Amino acid sequence: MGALIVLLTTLFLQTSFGPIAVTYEPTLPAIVVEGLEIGQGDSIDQRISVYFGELNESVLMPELIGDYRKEGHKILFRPKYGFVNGAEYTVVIGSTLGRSGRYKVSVPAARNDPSAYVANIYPSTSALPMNQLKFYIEFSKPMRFGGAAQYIKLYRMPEKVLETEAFLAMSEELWDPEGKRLTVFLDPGRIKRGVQPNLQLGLPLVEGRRYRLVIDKKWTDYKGATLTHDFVKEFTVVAVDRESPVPDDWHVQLPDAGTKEPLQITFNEVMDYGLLHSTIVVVNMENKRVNGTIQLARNEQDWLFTPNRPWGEGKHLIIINAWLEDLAGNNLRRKFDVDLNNPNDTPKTFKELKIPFVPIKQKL
Amino acid sequence: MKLKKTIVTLLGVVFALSTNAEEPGNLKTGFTYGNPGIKSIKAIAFGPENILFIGDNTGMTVYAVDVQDTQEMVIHELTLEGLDKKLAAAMGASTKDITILDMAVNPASKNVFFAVSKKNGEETSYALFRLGKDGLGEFPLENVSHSKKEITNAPAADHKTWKRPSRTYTVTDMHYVNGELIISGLSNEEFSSGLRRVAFPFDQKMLTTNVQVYHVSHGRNETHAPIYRFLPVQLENQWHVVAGYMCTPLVTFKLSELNGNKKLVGKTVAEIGAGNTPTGIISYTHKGKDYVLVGNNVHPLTKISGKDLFNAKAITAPSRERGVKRENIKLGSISHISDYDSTYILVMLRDKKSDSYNLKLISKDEV
Repeated sequence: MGALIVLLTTLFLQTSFGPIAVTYEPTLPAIVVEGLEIGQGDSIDQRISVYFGELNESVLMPELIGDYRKEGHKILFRPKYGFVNGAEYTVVIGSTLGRSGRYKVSVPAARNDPSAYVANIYPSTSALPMNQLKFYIEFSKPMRFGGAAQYIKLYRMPEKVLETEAFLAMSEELWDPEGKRLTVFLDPGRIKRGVQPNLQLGLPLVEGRRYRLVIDKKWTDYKGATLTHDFVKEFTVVAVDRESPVPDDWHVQLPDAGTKEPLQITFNEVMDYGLLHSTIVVVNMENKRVNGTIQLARNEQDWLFTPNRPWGEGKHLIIINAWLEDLAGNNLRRKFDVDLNNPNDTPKTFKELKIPFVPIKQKL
Repeated sequence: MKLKKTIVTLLGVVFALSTNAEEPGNLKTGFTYGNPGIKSIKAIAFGPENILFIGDNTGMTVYAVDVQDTQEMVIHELTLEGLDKKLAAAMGASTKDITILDMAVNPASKNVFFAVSKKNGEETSYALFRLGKDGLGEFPLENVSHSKKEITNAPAADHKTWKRPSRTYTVTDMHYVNGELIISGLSNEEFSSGLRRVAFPFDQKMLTTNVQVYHVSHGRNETHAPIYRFLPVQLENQWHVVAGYMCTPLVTFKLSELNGNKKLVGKTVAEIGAGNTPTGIISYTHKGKDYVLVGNNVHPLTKISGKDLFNAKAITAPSRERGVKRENIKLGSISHISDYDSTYILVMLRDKKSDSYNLKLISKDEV
């Protein structure tokens, strides 16, 4: 009998509270339920359920994964995987003595004015070989991943015909760790000699033709804002390049010792933008890496290295990994696709190229 | 009853309790309890003894997690419509904000695991889900028995001195075989292929090795394209690797040839077709015969007998030769495929009409 009285009292107290209020609190961020009394031993997550969007009676949809916590008179719900800006959520309060109900909570859409843009597309030259392998699209801010292909359009000019099968379609997007640079491959199946796409469709680019590569401003940055404007790169296509870069034809311009003049390599052709930043290092007499900054000039045909500290004297080495490629994917060691019947195509065996140099000693 | 852990209850499903009395083997040497600190999930794959391998691109690490499945799921008919909608709802998002990255079946329990990512304004979050006896629920990774191994320094022999801030390596597939985890991946700077081999249990001192794999087209053009999906498989009692490239060739080589930093040229046995991506390769023995299936997102499912694959000759003229004898089975656009049990294969199909992803068990008698 005593137990029954306690139970009735509890139920009475619950119903005597004011109306239940359910709100979204952006500073936490959390969904906040006020006015709901949870008895001792009563589990919060059995009384409250949070769903994404509108609740559909016909299809049982899962609740949001998240954490319910009691803080004073409030109950806070924080979803484990976050809220979505501009989305609506339905909060269902479990039925106890007719106190059940549904509450809609809206998370405001973020106000996002466009500020990001395409800083550049590499290669920056406007003459590309017919077997051009890839583009790097560099943005001013980190971008949102996924769905990139829909914003990249290649047109054959002057007809402005959309080339629909030029790029390699894949679910992976090749972003740099910052999310500011995307690598896009022209379909290598069409470039590699002898595979079916190559035999059926031919190379994606045709010598002598002009193309326009357009990056759509509808592409969104990491905050969900669109770009400030479209980016357009026009180029013409020149002959196919099936030769590896030739180090014998490169020129090295030496800096003066004791200065911070750049060390400069001039290549015999335009080289790959990404690899120019990751395949070349300079070491000093003690075999220690010289720290500095890389700059590219003449549309990625010149590589300039400015040391953080003035050049020391004595023998230095430029070490270039054999993976360094030209625009058509021919690296220092092997061509992009090797013709096994052509002795000139036999890959070389070296792993890195070492170019010794001594900074010029200044006359006093 | 904790309803929150259970998301969808499966109806018409028969479950059986498993004794699962497997002794913890020495494969779990070095496992510790706690939060492995997984930054991202790209690929998942099961090894033996409840061990799930997780490939993390952002953290450049592979993890081995003991999922400790104790109940075996026996499903005679499993179809789950709108899998993506359910996963999205649980993560508090619409389907356009999530991606189902990978699917793996635990051979010890037949539970199905899904790796899912969610775009969340400024960041992307990752979750693991398990479809088991209690339906579909999140599999939290905050407190698990695990071990891990960084793959950052992986082709170490070539460029340990290089600092590469812009360079990334994206895991595309992983498989455990004979005490090793083999990983395929994509570089954002070269279109080249390297299979990484990591000894398991992870030995922190041991370096991962990177094997360059080439394939030949038209009998004369040798290229270095990345392997997108692969599978270690026994053909006529010898371990082989079947590899699917993005630009269409299907290639085989012997696992024993995957050795050190030596160059390896595989045998091109078929071309799946242009504009297609191989989405998964599985193998099984059915009614005494071995089969290899290649799931595709555009072209039909490709079925090849193990014997034909073993005996296949290298293609020399792809425009005239069809390559290895194979059957094409039209199931739709396959986004993931797994060998389920002795009777079924499990496929995740993308239904373009309803724009949703559905899970379907298909009898091995029907493929």
